[in-house]
Amino acid sequence: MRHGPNGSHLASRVARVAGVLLLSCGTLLAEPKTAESKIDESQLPPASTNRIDFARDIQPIFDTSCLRCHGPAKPKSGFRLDSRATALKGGDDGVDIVPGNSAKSPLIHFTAGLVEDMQMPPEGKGEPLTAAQIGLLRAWIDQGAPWNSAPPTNLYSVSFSPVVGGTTVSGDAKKFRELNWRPEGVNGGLGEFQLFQQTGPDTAVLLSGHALRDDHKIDLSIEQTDLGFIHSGWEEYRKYYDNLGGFRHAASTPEALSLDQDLHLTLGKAWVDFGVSLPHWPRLVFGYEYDYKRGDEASTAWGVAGTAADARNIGPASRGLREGTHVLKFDLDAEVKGVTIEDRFRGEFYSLNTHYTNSGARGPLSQNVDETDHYFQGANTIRLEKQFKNWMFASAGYLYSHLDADSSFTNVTRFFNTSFAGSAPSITLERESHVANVNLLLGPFDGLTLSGGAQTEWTRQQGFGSGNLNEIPFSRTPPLTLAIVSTTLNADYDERSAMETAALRYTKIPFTVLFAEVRLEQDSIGQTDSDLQSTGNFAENTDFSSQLTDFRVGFSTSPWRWMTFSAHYRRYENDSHYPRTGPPQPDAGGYPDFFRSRELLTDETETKLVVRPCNWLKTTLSCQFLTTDFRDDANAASNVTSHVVFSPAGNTLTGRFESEIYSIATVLTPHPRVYFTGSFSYEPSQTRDLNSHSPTIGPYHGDTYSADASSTYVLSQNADFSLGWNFSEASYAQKNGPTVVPVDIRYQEHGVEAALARRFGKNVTARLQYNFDYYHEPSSGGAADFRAHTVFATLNLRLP
Amino acid sequence: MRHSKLSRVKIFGALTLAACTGTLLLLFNSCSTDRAVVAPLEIEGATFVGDKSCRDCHPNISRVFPSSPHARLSSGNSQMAGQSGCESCHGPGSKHIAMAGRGGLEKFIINPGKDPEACFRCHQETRAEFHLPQHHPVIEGKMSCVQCHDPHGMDIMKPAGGLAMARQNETCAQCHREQTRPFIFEHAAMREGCTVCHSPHGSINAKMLVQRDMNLCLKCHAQMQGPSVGPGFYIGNVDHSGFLRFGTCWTAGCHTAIHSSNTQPFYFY
Repeated sequence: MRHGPNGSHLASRVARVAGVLLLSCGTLLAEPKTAESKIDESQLPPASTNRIDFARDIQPIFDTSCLRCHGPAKPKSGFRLDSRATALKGGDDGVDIVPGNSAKSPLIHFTAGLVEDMQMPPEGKGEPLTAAQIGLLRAWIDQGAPWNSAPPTNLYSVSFSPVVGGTTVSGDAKKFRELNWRPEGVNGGLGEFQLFQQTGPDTAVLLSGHALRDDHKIDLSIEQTDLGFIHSGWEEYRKYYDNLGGFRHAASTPEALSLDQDLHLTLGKAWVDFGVSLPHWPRLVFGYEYDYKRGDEASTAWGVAGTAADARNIGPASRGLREGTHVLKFDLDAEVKGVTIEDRFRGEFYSLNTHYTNSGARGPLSQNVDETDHYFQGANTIRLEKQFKNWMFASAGYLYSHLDADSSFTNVTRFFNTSFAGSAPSITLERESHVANVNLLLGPFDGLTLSGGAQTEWTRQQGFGSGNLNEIPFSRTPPLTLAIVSTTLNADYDERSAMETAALRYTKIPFTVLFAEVRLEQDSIGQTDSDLQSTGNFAENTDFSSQLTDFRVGFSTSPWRWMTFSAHYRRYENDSHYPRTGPPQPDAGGYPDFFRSRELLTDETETKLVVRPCNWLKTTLSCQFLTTDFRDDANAASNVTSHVVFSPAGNTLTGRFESEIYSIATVLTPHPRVYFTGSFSYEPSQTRDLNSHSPTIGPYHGDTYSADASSTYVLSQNADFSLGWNFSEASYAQKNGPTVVPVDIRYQEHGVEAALARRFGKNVTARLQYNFDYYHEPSSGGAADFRAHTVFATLNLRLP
Repeated sequence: MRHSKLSRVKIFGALTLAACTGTLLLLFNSCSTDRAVVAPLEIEGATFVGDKSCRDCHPNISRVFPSSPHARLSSGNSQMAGQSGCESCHGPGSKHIAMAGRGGLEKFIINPGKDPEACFRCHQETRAEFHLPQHHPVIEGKMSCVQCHDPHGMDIMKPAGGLAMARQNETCAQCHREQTRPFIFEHAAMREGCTVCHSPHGSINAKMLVQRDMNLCLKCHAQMQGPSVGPGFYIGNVDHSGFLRFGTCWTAGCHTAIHSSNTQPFYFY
């Protein structure tokens, strides 16, 4: 129970140690450390003359004034008052209670305020004990410090919620699964369960989780205070995909665009962490985790589904995926001489197998692509923090990572009746990164906080591979590009970047905070990659440098209890330059080929008003305006053989994205038994590019609406009723020509939930829930529409 | 089967009427009780105690908080209670503090890592994004806000700004290793970050893309057309006029490996 706040604490600690040495001469069983010579025992309140009952007289004092800091979790100075054994054991500096001798017990000296800087509870942490309370404590110690309140052992609680129900869907059931992340049909199991057992004063076991159809989670936690813990678990759920997709021409039948597959990915992870939390030792965690994804996912790499003459039906495609990552973990947290040390190590063994077939790709051409990838990546970060002064805090970090990868690739392309089998059986990649940063947080002046940091990163990456692959397509068309030729692949990447951040926060204006933040980043990348083939090489040099500026200024003010207003303006600018070296590639045309520079500029303004005119009504209004410009500066470019000038030189605005978001949210509690919350958001946005006047492209614009509302009503002492609704609608279209596939998206989605919950006695709660989900998508010809009704009944049982 | 505006109004009207009628019926018919509803982020019987009380037990978080993005709202003397500071996200803390030392104190404080409602209360536009058809499963409880965001600004592995060690795309790479591993032919767009093409909270488009058509790519790849290209439409030095009518750049078997490729410089596979 030491909370010495300043330098004089050191002196008093020395004095106390001296006192402990003196006192230890006269006390065999205990080592109280109060400087006895400085204690005037006559100032101690007299001990109570009553017979002490610990539970009645002492425990309430501990609960109110002591256990906040001297409980089992993170006890100050290692002193715990949650059991007799720990109380008599004392803390880091020795014993605090000498049974039978309250006048010599530091606990009494501290609570009576007789030791400078050691008043317990400390100022600001609780009211000083009264003389009567100190008298009770004295009497308790004088009577031998009996502890008739047994420490909690074998306490337990059990809670589990069996649930049964199901969903019926009319329409596209797969779309229902995709949007709601759960399957249709009968469902049930344990909605949630929790078993807790306190097996000893310092040991607890917790088992929790849920087990539903295609959705499981189990967590096991075993903790022993001052020793360590085991945390382990497994979770798995599915991400579902509709098997429709692509773009459907209005004249087509919906069935033409169905894959007729049950597409889903199973996502999961299993983990176990062993932690060591010995007093005065670093906190150590050793862990293992396995992350996995497997199954078939819908892909947006859609293929042509119509006839060659009318290729405006773009049909769905899927991709098989099997990914697994073994992760070894090591965490260390320690504090040495006021420096907080945090180290994190991750070792990842990654494995990937993918396969996809695109039967309709580019007309009569189909692709069958298989890829594998394995890598090991080791990464370690170490971070140091220190509070040098009350107004100065600093931290520094360093990250190192190294990755070694092996990949293989096969692609069998069929063009009419001819197969072209390409492969690159061995591709190796290596990546190494160093990142270091320093940060400083300063608050020397009242109401002014400054923080800043600098970070530097160096990443080097190399890749090499060889095999037999299709010819590089350039501007040729199949089958000229499908011939298989020997290939050598090379890549070299060298990145150096620096980032500086600074932030200022000023709070001296009453009820207001002003802030300004800036982030600067300078990036320089040397990069070459090549695909060397006997019939023509691809080789690009994409050297790159960039300067990024991101600043934000704003304020937040709350001058009245009923109102808060905040606003900010942000500008993000990223200028990229492509310092060209070597002659232009005659055929290649990698991205920067004839571009000299590129600029990305975002302006963002956001305001938010929170109004609470009365206790039962709170409304938040916000609006955000966002504009992003994409601009290029290019050299003239022409085909060296045909002499067609396909792009003149110039600086052009290549693209612009604009959006506005208007939101309103309300929380309403007009009656103690009624709670209502609702929000509505509207976002119009538009994307246009330099060539949007073309009938093939056109600007893309539309509106998105989103709303949700929920309310809860207390029906009676034992029953609640809740009603919720969420909604979203969008209508986006591209103004393009009649020969182009329709990329519109227009949909409307509603979800309504009504639930009745009732308690039966102290330990049982029943809940009946009904959901109605509705989805209508005119842009897919109604093929993805559905209506779904869901009923779930849940019983929650709780012991004791 | 496109719904007319009239039918839409009917649906809204019916739902509103049903909700109002149900609420009124329940109000009038339920038996009396003095039990009050516990609104989200409220903790029954708890009151606001202020940030200073939190510092005693959570010094490592409190001392770096002034450098976090959330400190933009925290003046320390706001008039509206519970609108900024620790308790604006974690709920009123008096009972949590009172339980300290006796175990079970986590039952009396809000953990936004387990319930996104704490975040949505201020980030209402984000809540709206999560209600769009394609979204990360946060509302469904399979993910949480803190998997990607560090609200206190101190975790070295999360790019929350402040004192964190921020690295491009690192947050997404925790789960999407396939897309963020090294490749022979790197798509330079990855340098701008995943959010140039993806809207991570939610989107109306498949794969949470920010646009669903070729405008997504042409924002960077559009170029002025030369005077002699005629009806052609060049991107790079290739006439794409016959390809663009397939709707996007990554459909119809073209640039399908758009996150980067080990074998094809134009990301065909």
